[in-house]
Amino acid sequence: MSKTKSKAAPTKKPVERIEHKGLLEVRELTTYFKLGVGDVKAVQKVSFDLEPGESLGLAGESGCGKTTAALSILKLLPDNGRIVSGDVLFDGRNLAKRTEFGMSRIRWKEISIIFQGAMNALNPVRETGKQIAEPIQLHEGLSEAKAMVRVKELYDLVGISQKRVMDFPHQLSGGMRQRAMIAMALACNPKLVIGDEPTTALDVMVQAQILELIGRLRKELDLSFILISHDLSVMAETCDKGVIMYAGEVVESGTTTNIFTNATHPYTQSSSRRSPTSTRSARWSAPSRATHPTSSTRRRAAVSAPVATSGSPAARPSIRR
Amino acid sequence: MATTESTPAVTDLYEKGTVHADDLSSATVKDGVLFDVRDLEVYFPIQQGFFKAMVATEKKYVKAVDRVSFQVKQGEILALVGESGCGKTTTGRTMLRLEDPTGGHILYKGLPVEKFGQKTLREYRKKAQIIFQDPYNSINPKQTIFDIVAEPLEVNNICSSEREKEERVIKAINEAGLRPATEYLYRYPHELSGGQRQRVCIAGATVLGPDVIVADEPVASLDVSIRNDILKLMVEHKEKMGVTYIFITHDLSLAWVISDRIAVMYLGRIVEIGETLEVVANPKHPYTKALISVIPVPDPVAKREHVILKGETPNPVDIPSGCRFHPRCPEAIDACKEIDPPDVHITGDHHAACIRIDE
Repeated sequence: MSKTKSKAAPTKKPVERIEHKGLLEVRELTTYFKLGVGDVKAVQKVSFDLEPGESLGLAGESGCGKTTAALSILKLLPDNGRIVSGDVLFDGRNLAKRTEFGMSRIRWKEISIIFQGAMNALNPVRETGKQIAEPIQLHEGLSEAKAMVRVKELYDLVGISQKRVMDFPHQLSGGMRQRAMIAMALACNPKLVIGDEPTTALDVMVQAQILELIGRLRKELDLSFILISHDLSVMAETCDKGVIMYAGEVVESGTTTNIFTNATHPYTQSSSRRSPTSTRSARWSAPSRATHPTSSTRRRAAVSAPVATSGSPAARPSIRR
Repeated sequence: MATTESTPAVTDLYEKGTVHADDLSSATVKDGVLFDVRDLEVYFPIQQGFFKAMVATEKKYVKAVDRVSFQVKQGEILALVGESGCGKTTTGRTMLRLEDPTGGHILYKGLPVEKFGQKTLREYRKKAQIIFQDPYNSINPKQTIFDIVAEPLEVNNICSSEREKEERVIKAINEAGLRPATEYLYRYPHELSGGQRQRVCIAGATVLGPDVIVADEPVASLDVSIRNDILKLMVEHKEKMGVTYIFITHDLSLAWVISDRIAVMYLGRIVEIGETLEVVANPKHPYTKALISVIPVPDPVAKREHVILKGETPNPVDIPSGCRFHPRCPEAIDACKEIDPPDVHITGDHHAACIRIDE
């Protein structure tokens, strides 16, 4: 496909490969949204990198800019959003400086995204299988019939019955819809998949199923994966590396083990403090996502002053008192 | 799930007709049991065309709740936990008579809720309130906060003067944690955040001073950082005003934080019930064990066994034979396909329905 494109534009020089770390390197990415009152500084100087086959968790409260950071990578920002400075280096190219046309060849072909609400991300009046076939037709130039063969393979891969390819989204259950979204993200064999809260709207059991599926596919297909989540425990269980964002900035990054054992920022500390010390009490730490440390109204204060400890780790969280 | 033999049959007492409103106001709580649900059944008929109905040999039902028995003690928080489609919401709604039961009894202070007439229901609804899942859709966007919270008072003609009404509304809003209340009175829902809206819903539910509130996934649509505050508020209400909560959630970790007792539901049945700490620390039913094992833990080093159940909850129209959990159960044996497991008493209040517990 790239050959035909270069023939069409023979005057174009071959693009120089930019040297950078890993598969994806985000350097001091800054994204603003323009509003009537001024600029909303959604993402400020965010940097991280990702090796091929690695998984990275991008965590933080809602409104901390984690989704905006991911959308900036794909340049899917709304009209009032813009990348102010910084580089997104992916596989030798700088995506931040790429044109819309250039991006359209990267989106889905090399980087794809699993959106949050599968019900809202799928077209309700189109068969799910056909929607998944769309990027295959577009990027690989296949006919719909041939693309549908690939869709059926994808359905097998994500664990939906092939009979359901012609089902509409409303005929699928929540878990199946999310599986269909994953199938769609894998349609063109991308190198990097971004999961924007892929399990948030799901039941716990379905969430576990989906996370297991993502983990399995990552190994089988050697994918790099960015998981965006507000749930630090989900990140701890699925990712190799983590980046914790707070109010548009990176407050903590490193391997997940490091983040959870040597948390320095109060936000991370308070979120992961209830980690179990003994294996027996593992389940006692579970509700940390419910007993979230700071309310959004008080969060600034909470960050400037260290969050008060609430008893020993094995004790029940402080909500009781 | 608990005792059914000791108390006299309900049908004998109220065979003649409906329960009068006076009976309700004079009823008292006996032995601390506010609700006694016995063999509750809620079946929804499947709509069939005329022709099919003529041909069909039997009518089909969605068995949303299928012979569920449990008790709710006064002043406790009982959590109903289960996957979507397990009947937890239907159970909660039926307890408020928002759905009519097709069988069994719900005794509220010893009176059968299913026999309440219109007038009695009105009285009953003052005592039993509900908080819905989504605060974005459950309040009227065209009403001010004052109107929303005052509506129950107006409908029930409770306040003699405007002044009294205002006082009660302000008190309820304050107690729901929107302080100072006067600042919120004449705002509209769109001016508030999700957490604040949910507080408005809670104020609307508490303004009548109810005995019991059914909270149907009250924090599911809220941001994680706000959940904590809302849960705290509910615990506060329980402790200060003695409100009994029935907390419906799919998230066992939430139930664990807030509730005194947990009832785990699967496909219209309660499979395990007991004191929260006991159930979480010592789960007996394989379904409860699986639910607990998949709760994510914020510790990358801890390698835990995840019991991930295959597939999804079966269709409640064709419930599997024997134990309804057997097609997905990791511990199922052949006998599970035939025997509908009876309730096994474990310790104290802890019961579970599985034939393999004693092994």
